[in-house]
Amino acid sequence: MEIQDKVKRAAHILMLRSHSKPGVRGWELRRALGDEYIKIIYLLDKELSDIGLRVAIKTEKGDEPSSKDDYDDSFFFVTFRSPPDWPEIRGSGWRIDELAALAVSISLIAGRGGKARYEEILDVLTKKIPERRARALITRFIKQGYLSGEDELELGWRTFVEVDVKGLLKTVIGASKQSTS
Amino acid sequence: MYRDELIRILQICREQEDPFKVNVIDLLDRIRKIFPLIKTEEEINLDLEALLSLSDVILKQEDVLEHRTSLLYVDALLILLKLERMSLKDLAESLRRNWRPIVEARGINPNFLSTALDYWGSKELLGKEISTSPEREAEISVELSEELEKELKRIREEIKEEVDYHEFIRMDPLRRAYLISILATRGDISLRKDPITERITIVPSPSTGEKVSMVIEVI
Repeated sequence: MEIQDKVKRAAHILMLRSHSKPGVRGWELRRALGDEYIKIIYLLDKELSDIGLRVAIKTEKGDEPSSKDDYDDSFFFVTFRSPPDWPEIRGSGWRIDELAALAVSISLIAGRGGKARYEEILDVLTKKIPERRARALITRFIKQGYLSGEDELELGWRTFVEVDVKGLLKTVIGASKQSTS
Repeated sequence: MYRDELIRILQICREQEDPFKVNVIDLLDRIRKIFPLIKTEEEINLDLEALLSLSDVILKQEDVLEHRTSLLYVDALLILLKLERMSLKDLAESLRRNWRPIVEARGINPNFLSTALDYWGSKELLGKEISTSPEREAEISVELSEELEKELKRIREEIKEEVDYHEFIRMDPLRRAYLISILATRGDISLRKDPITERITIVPSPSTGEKVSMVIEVI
């Protein structure tokens, strides 16, 4: 198979969801593209950059892979290369209060060193949105993989892939223009 | 002779969870003093292992320091205060600026086909249990319609004034939500949503404004 064909194949494998959750394991890509699959992925990443996308690679713990073995066990995703604009967000069905609730949940958990009590997150959320909605949103974030756990919540796999947690905390802490909801 | 002492140093390095509770300088000094005195091959190996374990402790100390100086170790209270004071719009914008959503396309694949097959398989079994002729199906449909109309009438009579939607459906959420949705679609009643509190109420009269579709979480 030509290199260009392999790049196309990699794009199809990564973008067409075949599992219950998105992401493809490194060893699956090795099986489909051969031993030099990492090079193919980097070529794909270069091609995707022209249309504002990128290949994100994360280990099971949410870190960047560091060794060859790490790559085999890591998950590969296609994500936006830069943050989406508001029209794109609205078009994908997200509402402002939903994004805000996710921002609160992630920031609280990260600020507590990786874990925060469900009730504590709910308490902060209910100061901004109705309790029924807050509970429903937390459940939805868990289902989507942004959060995990029950009584004590942690950051889920999707947060590690999609969200720059350090950047979010930096933005929250640096937020100077304060207003109440 | 020095075997036990070296094993003790190894244990301290390996078992202490907080790397800052290990007195690295003291233990390093002890290893340095022991080294010229050890004689057996086992002691030399243990000495080397103890030295390596101490270097691991130093690495752990570095990691902890790095984490504590990073943004992830900011004061939780400060974050809480900031979050509480920020508006929904500012919070959403904070996330947007640091968000790169996953892109994916869904298509038919063996997993989906298998799920679909399971679904139709279960339907087939269900069909075998209820064997009805087209005439009987039509009769059941009429009977159900009459039954449904009676229930709709009863529910409609319950709504005398504007009531909270969730309060109203609470005693039998799915059934009452279903009946309310039919009445609202027919225009017999209308639903109102407060844009600020998001509270949904049932209004006993039809809406005069533009009709829009509403998605309401029932359970």
